[in-house]
Amino acid sequence: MNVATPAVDRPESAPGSGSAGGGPLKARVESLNFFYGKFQALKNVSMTIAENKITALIGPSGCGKSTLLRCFNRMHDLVPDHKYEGRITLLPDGDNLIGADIDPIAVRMRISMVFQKPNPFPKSIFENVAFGPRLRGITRKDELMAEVERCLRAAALWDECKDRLPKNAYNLSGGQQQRLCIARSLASRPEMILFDEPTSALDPIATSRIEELMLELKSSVTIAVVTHNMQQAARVSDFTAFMYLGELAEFNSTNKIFMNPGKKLTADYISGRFG
Amino acid sequence: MGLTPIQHKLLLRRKIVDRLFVALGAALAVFCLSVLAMMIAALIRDGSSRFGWSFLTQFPSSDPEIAGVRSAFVGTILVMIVTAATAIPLGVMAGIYLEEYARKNWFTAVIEINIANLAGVPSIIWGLMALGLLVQYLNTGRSVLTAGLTLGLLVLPIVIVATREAIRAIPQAIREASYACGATRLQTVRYHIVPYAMPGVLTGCIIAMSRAIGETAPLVTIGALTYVAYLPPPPLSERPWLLGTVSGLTFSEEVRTTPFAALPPAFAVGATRAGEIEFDVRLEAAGPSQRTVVNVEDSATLTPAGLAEAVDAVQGVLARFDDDGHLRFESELDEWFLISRDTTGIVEGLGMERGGGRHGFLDWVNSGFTVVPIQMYDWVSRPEGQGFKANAAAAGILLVTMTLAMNASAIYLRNRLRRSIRW
Repeated sequence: MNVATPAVDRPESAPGSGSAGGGPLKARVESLNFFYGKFQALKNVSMTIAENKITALIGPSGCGKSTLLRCFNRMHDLVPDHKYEGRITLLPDGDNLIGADIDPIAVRMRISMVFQKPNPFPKSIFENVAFGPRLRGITRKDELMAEVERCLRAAALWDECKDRLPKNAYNLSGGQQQRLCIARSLASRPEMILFDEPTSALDPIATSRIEELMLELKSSVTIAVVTHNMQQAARVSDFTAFMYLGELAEFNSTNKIFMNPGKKLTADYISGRFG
Repeated sequence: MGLTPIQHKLLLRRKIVDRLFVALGAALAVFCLSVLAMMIAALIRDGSSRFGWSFLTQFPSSDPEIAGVRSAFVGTILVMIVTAATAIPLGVMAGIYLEEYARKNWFTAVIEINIANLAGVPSIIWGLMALGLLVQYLNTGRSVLTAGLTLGLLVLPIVIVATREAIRAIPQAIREASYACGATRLQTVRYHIVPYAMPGVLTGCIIAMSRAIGETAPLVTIGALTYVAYLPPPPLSERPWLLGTVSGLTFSEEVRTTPFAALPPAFAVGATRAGEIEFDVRLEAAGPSQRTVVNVEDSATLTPAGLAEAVDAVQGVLARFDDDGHLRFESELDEWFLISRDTTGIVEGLGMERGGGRHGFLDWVNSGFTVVPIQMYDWVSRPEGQGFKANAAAAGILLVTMTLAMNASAIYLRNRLRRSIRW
């Protein structure tokens, strides 16, 4: 499984499945089921994540979009009584991310995450970004410094905080904190970043900066983003997956989903009739 | 304000109830504080005449004017060191395990309930447990070690509960952030959980220590001494000893093999200095599970016959026979003699040999001890009119000061460390 199978080979619009047309793929979800104890939170989800694109997951509360996102970096492994079924293939090497033989820590070193509420560590700005490199055994101060600078620049935060790296991260504003979290997620040089409603706790200006940042980052990293904000999905994403009650209701290019949705359910949600 | 008269009246009534509640609360708070203040004032009134530097540096004495808490104060500090060294690592690690590692199942539920139960066990029960397990079964003696371990177990639940509370206060988002960076469980605990829980853990540990510092019942149960006129040996300090060969006296096999606790007070070891017989030195001998130290005062004019009486007065027996029938004892003085009630005489310098050496780093944990609350209790229980009440009050001042200082440092540490940790 070393070669990305062209998405067009996959059956189009099969119930609960979908694929991103054209371009190389970063990951493929195949018949994914996920259970919290006896409750099935994801039902037979199949979709693809296109490389160096932004894929948005939308849907009403409780539809399973965050659950799906958290399968990619095995966050569910932190709580007992979870069960994965199916496959999430990370390309190009073809590892099954949810395979029992795959170390979740190895997965998280390749796929990092940005959370809903900015959650910097209550440490200095420097230490927040340096945490990832330190975990990997980098101890030399100059190497760490170079890495911290690279990530802060990539997160468009360098100019604002280069003079106060030793200051506590909680002295930053909410939007800055979220960009710091993005810098932290970049420090592990991930192949993919998962954004779990990254702007829901931010004001409109901070939100638009995060969105700009995501668009800048996608040239170097694949992005999946869960969002409650339909405009945000329309603005930033290339592909959109609409989820409903644990199933993938529709998956297509963002243009298609928003301009010409294939299902009435999707159209109703997008136009704000429910959700 | 455009309210109708009825609305106005009702509003007025509600505001009166509101004010009454505030007044009641304030009155109760003032009442509690004033009880504490009166207690402290009474202690100061009774004890300030005795409280001072000499009170802290003097050993106990039969003369209340010169009696002090030196041995009890040092004993309290040493016992606290052992308590902290026991309760803090065990309690913090148990708390971390229960919060961060243990799966939530019936087994951990049983552990949790029992930790709460342990916190409610009366301290005298801990004393009985320590007497049976430590003193009698593990042979730790009536030592600093026994006391420290007993109090350590007593406050262990407090440390565990405080650690768990502190860890539980850390938002799940912080753990997720750490794991999402690719950290292992240990790295998450080491770099995040422990540092962020530290203010709460420290506070809990100090609260636990200030609880332990005033405990008396379990220490009475394990046999803490009430009269101690020596300090435990400092680590690596000089350790002079003389080896006396008891050839001038014959001891029956029965005497030699009897545990000291069971022997009648038949022997004492004394020392001379500058021609005077002086018992006011440390006399020590260790039996298999017994270590007794006495301090005989007013000995300058003792005659041999008087010495024999002094031996009778000595509580406990003061020597240990080693396998060769040698009697071992320790002193900082040079000349030794051995007296025996049976021979009513002094057998001087019988084949005594000077030895030497140093105490081990941790020898002090095996030493006998007393602590401030026990010293205080001893003084309180003396008959009225001997003048020990002032000493008891002064010891109370010391105890309250230590407790308040610990609680104050807990509050200070919490505020200081919490300043850098916000969520």
